[in-house]
Amino acid sequence: MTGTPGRLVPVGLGVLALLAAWQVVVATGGVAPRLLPSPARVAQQAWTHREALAGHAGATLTVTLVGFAVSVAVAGALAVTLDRLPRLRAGVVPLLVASQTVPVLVVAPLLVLWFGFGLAPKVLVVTLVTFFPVALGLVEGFAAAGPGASALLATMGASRRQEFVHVRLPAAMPRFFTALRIAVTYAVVGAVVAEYAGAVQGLGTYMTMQRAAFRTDLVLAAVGVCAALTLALYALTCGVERLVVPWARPRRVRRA
Amino acid sequence: MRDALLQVRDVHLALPAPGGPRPVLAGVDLHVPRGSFTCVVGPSGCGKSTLLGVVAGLRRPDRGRVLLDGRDVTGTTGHAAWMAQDDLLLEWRTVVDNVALGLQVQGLRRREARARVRDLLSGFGLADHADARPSELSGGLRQRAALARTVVQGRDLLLLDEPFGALDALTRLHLQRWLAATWAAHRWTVVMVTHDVREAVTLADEVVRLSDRPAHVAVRHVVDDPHPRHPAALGAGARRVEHEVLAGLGVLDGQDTPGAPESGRGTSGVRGRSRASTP
Repeated sequence: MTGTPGRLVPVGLGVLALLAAWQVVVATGGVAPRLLPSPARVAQQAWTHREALAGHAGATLTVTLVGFAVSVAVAGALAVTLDRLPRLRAGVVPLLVASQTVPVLVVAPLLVLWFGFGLAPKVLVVTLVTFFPVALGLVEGFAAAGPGASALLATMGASRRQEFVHVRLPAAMPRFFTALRIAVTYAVVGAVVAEYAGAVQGLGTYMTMQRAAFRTDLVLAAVGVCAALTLALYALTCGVERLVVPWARPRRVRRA
Repeated sequence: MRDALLQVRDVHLALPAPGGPRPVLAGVDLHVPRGSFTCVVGPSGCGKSTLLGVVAGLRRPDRGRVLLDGRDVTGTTGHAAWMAQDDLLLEWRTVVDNVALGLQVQGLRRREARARVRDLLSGFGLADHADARPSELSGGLRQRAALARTVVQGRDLLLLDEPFGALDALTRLHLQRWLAATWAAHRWTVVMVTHDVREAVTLADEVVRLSDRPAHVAVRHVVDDPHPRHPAALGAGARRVEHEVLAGLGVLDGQDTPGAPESGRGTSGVRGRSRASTP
């Protein structure tokens, strides 16, 4: 992918400008550091507390990845089942949509109440938040194969399994990865919300503690780590997508 | 009757439509000898493609039978290689892998299937494009790849549904010439649906004209000019059949003479020199 560094330059400049403006406002406006610390102070404090931040970030990352894996596994199993049973699909897809209306902020404390302070409630929250886009992406992806290709495979004498492997599964990959990229950005937030609701470690817990101690700088530092985690996971997903779905991006122009 | 590879006997089929099932095929009979090229023409929407779907086994007829080599294959698939108007190339597969698809479905490993296909690609003008993706190919090359995928399955019967229908006139002419020559060298048994009468008389041993919906066979025309023929230089026999078919389709007003009318592709006035032909 040529041009990626080129596209990153304006983004970097924008972020730098924003940070500079923030720094200037704090330095000249006399805002109390307790209310709004300068970015330099946030960075400096983040560095000082890097071990604590890294420990909590590790916990959050674990919750995110386990929850995301569960989500993809369950969504995959459901999507394959629904693809086989079109009548069931019509009934279940609205339920998937309804699952998106559940306010996670409200449900998360309940889940902690039911499942305790362990990994389970947090993984559940991440799964709940990311399940819908992944399942819908797969269901629609399988359907995107179209009747023509299925008919072609049928005339070749293909079994249902062969049709699935050769047509429906690869046809679903572009949509699946689009869904995955959306879902992975929800996943970190979901994990943090779950930790907010009650946990012994994780960035959500860390933010709650620092807020109680009026350490706005460390709360902001944790927010920065969250953003970095999300961006890293997003980039990772894009990288995997490029490997798995190379046909979605034209390699080079070669027309006769 | 010569040794018939394919026999379609009294096939009836109604398709669901608003207001109840609508009859599409009403007693269609086909008799396709081994090694012959049959073209099915007919008014737009008369059920040509539906008929091909029945032969391929994609649709089970309400009545009637499809026999392949005397074996009843009605409503079953896997006995004939089918090519749709849409090339249906899988965009995630390279050309060589697309062509090899049928062999993989038949149980060959990917590597074996690829190896077997590679030699065949040059015959289809695809040798330089083996590792290209379909999105990198021109329309003509895509149709060649789809045709190669159909042929490579090694079935006795090829069913081609308007294989050149989506191409521009010039590419189409090229591919017609190429298919005429390639078929003459291999003599596959082909049933091809087309709306292009010139294409039909260029390629076919027999042109079968279907009636309006619900379709039955209106007329059969034998084209016994030697193969391969050139679409822009047809012999007298082919031109006569072209004229008769067009007249039967109601696109001539009866005053035209053979040679002048065309099938609406803008090649009007091209008068080919008569080649050896048996009237």
